[in-house]
Amino acid sequence: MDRRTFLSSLSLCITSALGTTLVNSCKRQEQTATTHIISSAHKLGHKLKTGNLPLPEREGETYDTIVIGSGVAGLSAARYLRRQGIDNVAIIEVNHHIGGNASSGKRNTYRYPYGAHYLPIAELHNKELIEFLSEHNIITGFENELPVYNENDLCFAPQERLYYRGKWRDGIASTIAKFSPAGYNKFVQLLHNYENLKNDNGEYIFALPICNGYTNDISLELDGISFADFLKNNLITEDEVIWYADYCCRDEYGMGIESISAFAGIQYFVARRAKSANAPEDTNLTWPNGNGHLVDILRTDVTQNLICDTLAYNIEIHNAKVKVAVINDSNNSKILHAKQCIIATPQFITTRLLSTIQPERTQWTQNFKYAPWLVVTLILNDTSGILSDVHWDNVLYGANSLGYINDTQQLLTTHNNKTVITWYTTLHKQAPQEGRKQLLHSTTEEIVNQVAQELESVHPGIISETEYVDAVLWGHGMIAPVVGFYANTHLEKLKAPIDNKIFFAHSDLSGLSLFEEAFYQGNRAAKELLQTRKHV
Amino acid sequence: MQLLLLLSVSIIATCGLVYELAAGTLASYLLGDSVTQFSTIIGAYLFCMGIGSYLSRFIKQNLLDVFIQTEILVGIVGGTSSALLFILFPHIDSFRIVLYLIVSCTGILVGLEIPLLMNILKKQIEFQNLISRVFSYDYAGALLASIIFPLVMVPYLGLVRTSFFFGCMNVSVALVLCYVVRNELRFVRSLALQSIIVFLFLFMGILYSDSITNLAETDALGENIIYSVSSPYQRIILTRSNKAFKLYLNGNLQFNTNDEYRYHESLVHPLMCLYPSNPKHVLVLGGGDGLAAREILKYPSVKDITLVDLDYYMTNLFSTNPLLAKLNKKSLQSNHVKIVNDDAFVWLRSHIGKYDIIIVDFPDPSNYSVGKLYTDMFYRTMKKVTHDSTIVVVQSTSPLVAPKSFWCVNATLQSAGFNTKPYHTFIPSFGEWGYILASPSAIPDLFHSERLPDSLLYFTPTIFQQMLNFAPDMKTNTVNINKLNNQILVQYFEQEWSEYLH
Repeated sequence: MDRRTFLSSLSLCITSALGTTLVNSCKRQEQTATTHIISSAHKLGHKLKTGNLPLPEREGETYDTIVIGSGVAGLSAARYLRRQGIDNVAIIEVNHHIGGNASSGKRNTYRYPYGAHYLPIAELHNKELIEFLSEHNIITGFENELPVYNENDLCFAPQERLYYRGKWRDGIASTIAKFSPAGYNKFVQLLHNYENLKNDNGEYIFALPICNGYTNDISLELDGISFADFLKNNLITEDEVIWYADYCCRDEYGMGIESISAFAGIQYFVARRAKSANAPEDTNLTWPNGNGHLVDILRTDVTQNLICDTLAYNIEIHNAKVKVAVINDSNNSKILHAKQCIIATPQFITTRLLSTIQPERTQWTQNFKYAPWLVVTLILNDTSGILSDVHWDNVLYGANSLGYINDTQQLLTTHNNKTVITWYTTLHKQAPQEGRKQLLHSTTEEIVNQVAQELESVHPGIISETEYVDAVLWGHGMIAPVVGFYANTHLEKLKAPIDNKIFFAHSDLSGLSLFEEAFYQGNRAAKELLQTRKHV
Repeated sequence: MQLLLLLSVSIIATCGLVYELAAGTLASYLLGDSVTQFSTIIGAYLFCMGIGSYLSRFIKQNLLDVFIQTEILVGIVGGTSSALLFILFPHIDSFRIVLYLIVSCTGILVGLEIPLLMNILKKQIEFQNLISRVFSYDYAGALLASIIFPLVMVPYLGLVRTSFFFGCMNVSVALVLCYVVRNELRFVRSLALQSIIVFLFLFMGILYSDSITNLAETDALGENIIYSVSSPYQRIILTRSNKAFKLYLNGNLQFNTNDEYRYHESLVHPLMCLYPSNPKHVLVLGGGDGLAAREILKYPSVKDITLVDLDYYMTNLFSTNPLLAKLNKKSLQSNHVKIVNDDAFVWLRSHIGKYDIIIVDFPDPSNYSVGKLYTDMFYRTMKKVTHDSTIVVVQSTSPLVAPKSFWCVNATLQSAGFNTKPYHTFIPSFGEWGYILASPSAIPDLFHSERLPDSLLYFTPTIFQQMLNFAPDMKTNTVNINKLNNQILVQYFEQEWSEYLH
């Protein structure tokens, strides 16, 4: 396939945080026909922004509880409610698909992530997560009280490699340690000092979920400076180590060490202390479609009332009932009724939904920054080894991107006709709103050139082996724990229920866009809701 | 001109015989049984020359033009014959038809040449003299061909290039004649143009013979490749030297017919005789060459063999190619054998059924893809198709060269809940080679030697007792278990074999 047909076969899927747009890439005249889908979700999401919405036409259904948003937080909340016997729950989702940042794509038999693509094995104290994983056979049992993970779900070898000084080298941290041993040791020693710090209640300051840690003096001090300054202050200056720290922050939080707080930076390196009977502690769980797999299994745990392609655009409390105005992609609007409601949308959506009930939310979320992401999946015809011993995670030292993941890694087959890879990059070099603007105005060619230029430099000929491209533009990719995020005194208020009717669940309330946080926030909101019913 | 024509007789004779020899050699390479191949090809060739001679009587005019035209045709048919046969062999079922078609064409055309030439010369030379001179040049050419073909051409140029080379010689004769007798020709321009084009074409053939025969592989393997094909999964190469065939998958030797019986007898017969009752249901994973199945079919108690091999090209080749089907005694055509072309791991996961005997005969764990088939997860998946008495055998590389790899397979099988019994034997082509017996129950001690087929060349109960002993240099300290998330076996294997080979 030459560059031109490559371009023309591209199906571009643009997702802003407001919704998904599957857009035909072929705006350029010289290109031949391509597939073209524009999902209504984007239009719907945009309506919320412009405020151009009708008064609801009619009264709609009544549910026990309405959950708005079908990302991991919303699904987890709905799951928790169902386990406590609350079945009559509706989940409202603006997109055609569920899963939020953990959604995934599919072409023929090949599946691939649109965003989040792995979950580290669980900390032992994270009992609810362990229980969830056990119910779905990701944890198959326990040996000496340590979870035994299903080896189909543990990331297959070989796991990571780094393209450094002209060749691929096994291991990312290990390569950095090898080429910059003094700097790397200093770095590890420095972080080690924070690993076992505890607060007054005897809880780890650096742990997941993060809720225990961030109100502490030490954490607030670290929250006040960037990770870059923190490293500089501690005399860590070696290029390789700085690159490594920056890469890790971009990978985990979507922004680099200049923006991310020292607290969050350290959190990434020391908060995980998982134990398992059959895997090292830094092992990841992953699937061909990334965390789309976790969304699939969460879906089996929740209500059948998944209402997609539908935008919730206003919420009111009336006569001790919650009234949610919704509009679908055919422009039909109505009011849904429920006893209570859980809003599991990111805060820039939530503030709009509650603009009448709680207008001060906008003020409270001033320092919420969302990193834009570009995620591009390529389906390669090649089995001839153009990727030369592809690993699961393939990172390029010094590159703008975060490298690519081999989505076919977890297949048990010894031979596949196609190799599917997903390439990730953040627009960390500019302010989020500018990055967002640039991203959403990129032409197909610009996007493809960006991917091609980088991948061709390490895998010459890869573009000619590419059969299909699926690009996802995440305008508001994920919350970034930037400097000062946790100093926001309104964080608790953002989580607090309104009149015991409206509850809040989203990973951005933790400041970390992680499955564990979203799962925790969903469970927390569901528990708060259930608590109000016990008192009645 | 007279001398020129007579010299061309020599060249023509050389070329003619070379094509004949090349076809014979090629047929012996590809089809085996050189006596038959040579006799039938020489016979057919001579017969066709006769047809050519007969046809020459119908040519009355423009004799020189026809002669030159014939030269060009012989050049192109003979010159490309070897390349054509090499290329077509893997792709067509009726290879013999094409072979004899090419031989016949060459024969007819060569048969035309001498009578034509005699007709041309008869006006200038007296008959008796003519016969004697033409034939003496003819036979001299034949002697030249028969000497340089085996001693110079094949060793230094290879078959395909040799054919192209003599094709060029043929066309050169045409070209020179076009120039020398230009005044006596009617179609001089057309003939000259044809000669030039064909010459250039054949010359390109000389230059690109390497790519045509995959000589690169021949060089690497140092053997004559008689068949090579890239399936979607692997490169399959069959070579032949004298009587021995060797099969290479992705450049790794799978068997050598000189000693494969040692490998396959040792693989199959121990567990067939250790199984507590007469084994009935057998599963073979890998083994698309049908050689393990051949040994299993020696047990009349076996009712069905399910053979799961990923590669349709392999199983198809070994069931339809007469030469290879002979090797596995047509085991893949047996009614008892059911062939499944699927990925073993995926097939096992979805398959329900129990087998008495499971023979695991995968390629060595030299990469992460094949490595998956040696993991604890794979063995646990395999356990689903076992019952308590099922016995499994796993080919497990060399315990001498790669002890860590060998004992890693053993430990991995144990970790998946199998009792194991390792053994090993010597196979000249491979060296000291290891196998591991595994069963959900303890491996029985009782060896049912009464079941052992009569026709075995190597395996006996006594030999088996020796196979169970491991010398100290085949042992190693504790090893890790091979899992999907560490693939430690691939690392052991790579490390141990590269140390051994360097």
